[in-house]
Amino acid sequence: MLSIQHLEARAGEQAILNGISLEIKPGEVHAIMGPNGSGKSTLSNILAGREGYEVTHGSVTYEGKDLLVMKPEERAREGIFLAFQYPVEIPGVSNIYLLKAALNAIRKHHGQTEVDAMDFLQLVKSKIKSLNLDEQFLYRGVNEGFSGGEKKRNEILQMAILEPRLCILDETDSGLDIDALKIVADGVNALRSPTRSFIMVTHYQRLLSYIKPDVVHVLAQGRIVKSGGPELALELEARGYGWIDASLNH
Amino acid sequence: MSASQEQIDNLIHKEYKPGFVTDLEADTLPPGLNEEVIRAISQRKNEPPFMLAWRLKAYEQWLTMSEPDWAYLDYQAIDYNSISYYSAPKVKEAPKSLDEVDPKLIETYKKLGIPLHEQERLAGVAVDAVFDSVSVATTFKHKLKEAGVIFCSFSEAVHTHPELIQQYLGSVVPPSDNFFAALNAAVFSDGSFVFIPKGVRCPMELSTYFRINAANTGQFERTLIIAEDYSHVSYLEGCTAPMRDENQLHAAVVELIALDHAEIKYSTVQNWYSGDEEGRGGIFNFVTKRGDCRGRHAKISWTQVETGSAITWKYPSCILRGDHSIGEFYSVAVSNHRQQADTGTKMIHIGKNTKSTIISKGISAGRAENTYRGQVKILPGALNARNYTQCDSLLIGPKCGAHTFPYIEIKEPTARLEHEATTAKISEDQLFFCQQRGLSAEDAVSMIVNGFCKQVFKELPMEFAVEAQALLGISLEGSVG
Amino acid sequence: MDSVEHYQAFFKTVEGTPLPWLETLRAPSRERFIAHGFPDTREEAWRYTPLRSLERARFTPSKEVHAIPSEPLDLDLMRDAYQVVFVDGHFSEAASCLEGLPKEVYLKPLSLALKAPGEHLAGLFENTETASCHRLEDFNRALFSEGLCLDIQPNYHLEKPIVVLHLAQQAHGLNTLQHRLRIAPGAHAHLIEVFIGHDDSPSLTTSMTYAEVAENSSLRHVKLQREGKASHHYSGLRLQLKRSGRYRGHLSSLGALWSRTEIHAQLGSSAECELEGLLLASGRQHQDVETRLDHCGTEALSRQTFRGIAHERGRGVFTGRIVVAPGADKTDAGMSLRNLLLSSEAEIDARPQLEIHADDVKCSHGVTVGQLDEEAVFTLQSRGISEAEARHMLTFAFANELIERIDPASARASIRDALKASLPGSDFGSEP
Repeated sequence: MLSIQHLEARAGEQAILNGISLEIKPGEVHAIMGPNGSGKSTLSNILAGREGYEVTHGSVTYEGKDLLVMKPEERAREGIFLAFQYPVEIPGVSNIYLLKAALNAIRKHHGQTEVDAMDFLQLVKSKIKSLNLDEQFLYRGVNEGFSGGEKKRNEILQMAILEPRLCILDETDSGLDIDALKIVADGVNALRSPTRSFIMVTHYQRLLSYIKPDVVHVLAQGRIVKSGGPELALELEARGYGWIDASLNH
Repeated sequence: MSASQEQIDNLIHKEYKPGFVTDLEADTLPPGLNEEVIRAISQRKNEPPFMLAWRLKAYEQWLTMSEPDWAYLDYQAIDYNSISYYSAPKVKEAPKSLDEVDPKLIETYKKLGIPLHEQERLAGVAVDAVFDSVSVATTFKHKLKEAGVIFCSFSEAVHTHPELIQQYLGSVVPPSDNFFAALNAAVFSDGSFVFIPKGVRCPMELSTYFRINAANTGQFERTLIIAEDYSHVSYLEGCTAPMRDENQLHAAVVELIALDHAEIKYSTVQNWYSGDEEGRGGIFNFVTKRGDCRGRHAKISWTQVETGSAITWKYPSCILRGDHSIGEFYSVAVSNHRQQADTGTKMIHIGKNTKSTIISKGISAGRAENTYRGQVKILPGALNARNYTQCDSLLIGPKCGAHTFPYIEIKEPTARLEHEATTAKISEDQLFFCQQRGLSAEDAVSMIVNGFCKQVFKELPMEFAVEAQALLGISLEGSVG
Repeated sequence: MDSVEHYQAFFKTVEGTPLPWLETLRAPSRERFIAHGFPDTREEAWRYTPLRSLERARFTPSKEVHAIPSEPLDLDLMRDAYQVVFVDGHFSEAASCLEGLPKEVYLKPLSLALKAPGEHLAGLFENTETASCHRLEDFNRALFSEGLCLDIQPNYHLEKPIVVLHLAQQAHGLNTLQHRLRIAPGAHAHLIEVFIGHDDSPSLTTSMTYAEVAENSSLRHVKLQREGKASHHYSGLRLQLKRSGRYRGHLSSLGALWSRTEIHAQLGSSAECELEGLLLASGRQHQDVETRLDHCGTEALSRQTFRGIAHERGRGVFTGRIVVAPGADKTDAGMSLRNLLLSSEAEIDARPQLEIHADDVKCSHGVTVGQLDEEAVFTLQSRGISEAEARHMLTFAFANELIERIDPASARASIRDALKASLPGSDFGSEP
């Protein structure tokens, strides 16, 4: 589904990614862990197409297509979804409006007709219930005045409605208390399927107790320095990132 | 130029659809302004002597006044003698019904989306159509009459209700108020008149559609709305003009009077021709609009969407005289290319427990200058007066300007005022977020601009909200959910 | 004799006139003042500030020989500082103390500097805009004969503050001062200005300060205006902040019958300007503060925080304009003004203004006018405090939030004392 080959990238003068290679197959859940400044968020942003980064080397292929030449909205329509670390507020634009506009843009891209208003409303209402959100939530401005937890749940709501193929969760666990974390994790687990893949970017092991990854990668200084099964996350938790640094310096 | 910039440009470079000219024979006074011209206007309208006397006095005052220069506007001096002060489509006799109105005129309004024939009329909206200097038709007159509402052209009201005209004309905006108000009082040729008697809730929206057609002509209309005790009216105003390389002057006056517990809601979508990208042509729009909350618990609410005109000088205001009266001002002002807008409001608190709200959204693009200018004055004795003001400006492109000049004068120690203003550009984060959800940059910009204006759009009556959002190239958000 | 003629008579007497560069500076201002006189409220900049009382009075420059403090000056904040004292607009050598001044610092009263005009002096006066002035600035420039000259060498940090005390004691005295400061690249200075005077002697003090804060240098400034109750006060600060220059100022205006403080700053790239101040208008006081910050370079930051209190028949006037020049991207400018209006004859007028000519900016202003929180008054009363004292405490607390941030502690204490003495119910003297 996604193939990253020797990816190198910089922001301004600063090199951030120094040769990342990664293969993700349909249905797989990959966790990318690493200390602050290791390049985790940069990788998410580059996959989603945010401006401000320059890819200096390597390639990213998604479903056989060159991802890096695509505009952010094309990537989204092709099924890439980024759950933001800091979801932005858009005053005056209601949640439900954004959801409908986004869903229709994606449907149109795939040659489908616009969604029926009633069907859409039903779909959305069933989803917000499962995320333990109030219906009023739909009519408020996007993230406007939302708490940290509400913002993160809103990201999962959008994910559930838009049904992407590749979900990138950028530090989705940050700023969540244990109850909110469970709701978010349940939301993500409900979306797991043999055709949908996940990249979970996280600093802590905590999230991985709720969403079981197939593969764990450790990122440091813009490189994947270690890959393994779920047990790697536990080891990392026990020994700290210093362990990785130490092994790097050898 | 980034992708988003390009999208923004596409969004704001919309074609000006009402820019056509209707070809018909007109009765036009030669350019120039003097007493004879004023007499000629009064004579053509067959006015009673009190009107002529009022006009002449205003003209005398005007001669002693000078054009205001405090606004953030830069334009070539207006030569008041090069303008024609009266132009009307030629008719042998005044049309008695719509069937007698020149089909070319009917066609013009149809093209503008304003059907005058009642069978295809806008549902629930009565229209007074003002073409250059005269009102050509008013719809739904009879239905309104049944409710006791008077809605007709100003010229007609002068004849049918002279006592109301004498009582109220100039009582909110006296000719001496300012240069343009004096000019208007001297030469105004038509406009709308509305009277809602005691206890009547006007059964439909009233609207006036102003159309400038003739070249080298100024348009000077005057609107007077009186809402008696416990009455209610919602009034809409729209304006368009052909595209021409010369500037044309529009200097209107609107007076609103709300008595005890009366409510007037006045909405405007101003889409006069704005001139081309280089700033050639366009309407010079100098307008004095003021509402007087004379009664207790009276409420006057101004909502405006200003997208047109080369120059806009306009400050719809409220005098909150009656205790517990309420004044509101909701404004979206968009200026692009070389447009200049200096617009805002005045809220004068005199009565006790008076309240005012000001929400102003300015959008500036191209090489335009967009200025909010507002005054909140709370006089001694206006116990517990309250004002809330929020002025936000959105900048699109590095060559435009956005300015905010509020004046706050508080002389009452139980008053409370809160004023906030912000200026920023569309955030890259918001754009990227929308794109990541699959929206094109253009749609994302539309959506964000629409959200920015939402507080104002939601104050507009439905028909106008659609038009206003269409003017910004924005699809209607309310249709969802 | 009208007011212009009255002051014209003093123009010739101004010291330093023979210096050609000084005359070049004065001449245009003198001519403009003679042509236009004092401004009136038809001018936008003076809309809320009439000068009638100032114009009616006839002030006269005092003779230097009389300029001796009538009582010893011993303010806490003068300790551990270089001290410059001006009495009725004249330098008082006896009351000043510049001992131990490092060689990197040129610090002299103008009158002495003019006796040996060297490169420092000319340097301090060069690059002064003469084509246009801000009205009373013309008046000041036509007449000034004294002031402070400060020139600090690059990278020198002058830690000890310079305290400049202005004492107005002669009735109907006219005190005209102009200060010139230059903080060279990487240098730092700390200036504390205090204006005091006798309540029973009306006077007019005009004091202009021109400060150039060079690349990476910084200036800290405290100005406390607590002139006598019958006096008129005009002061102007013209600030040039070069690249990465920093200015942090607290300017409080508590005294005088009529007072106007103008602060105009030009911010170069990455400059920072932080302004705070209090206005207190009681009795029949008129307090006017006008700020104008020009963001000329990119990535500059400005913050303005002002609080006003008007009671009795006082009038507080605030105008704050932020101007962002074309291309001054990443400007971050914020202004906040909060006012307490405490009596039915008092008035607050505010004009917060934004003039933006660049698009990548973040600018905002906020203004509130209101009263004390009645809930808070009641809470204090319910704890046994009298209503009057409760109001005093809360009013003090409103102002004190700004004062707490003043450095050094001696200046903080001084402003706090001045505030306490001027607030309604000042006999309570409650501790914060």
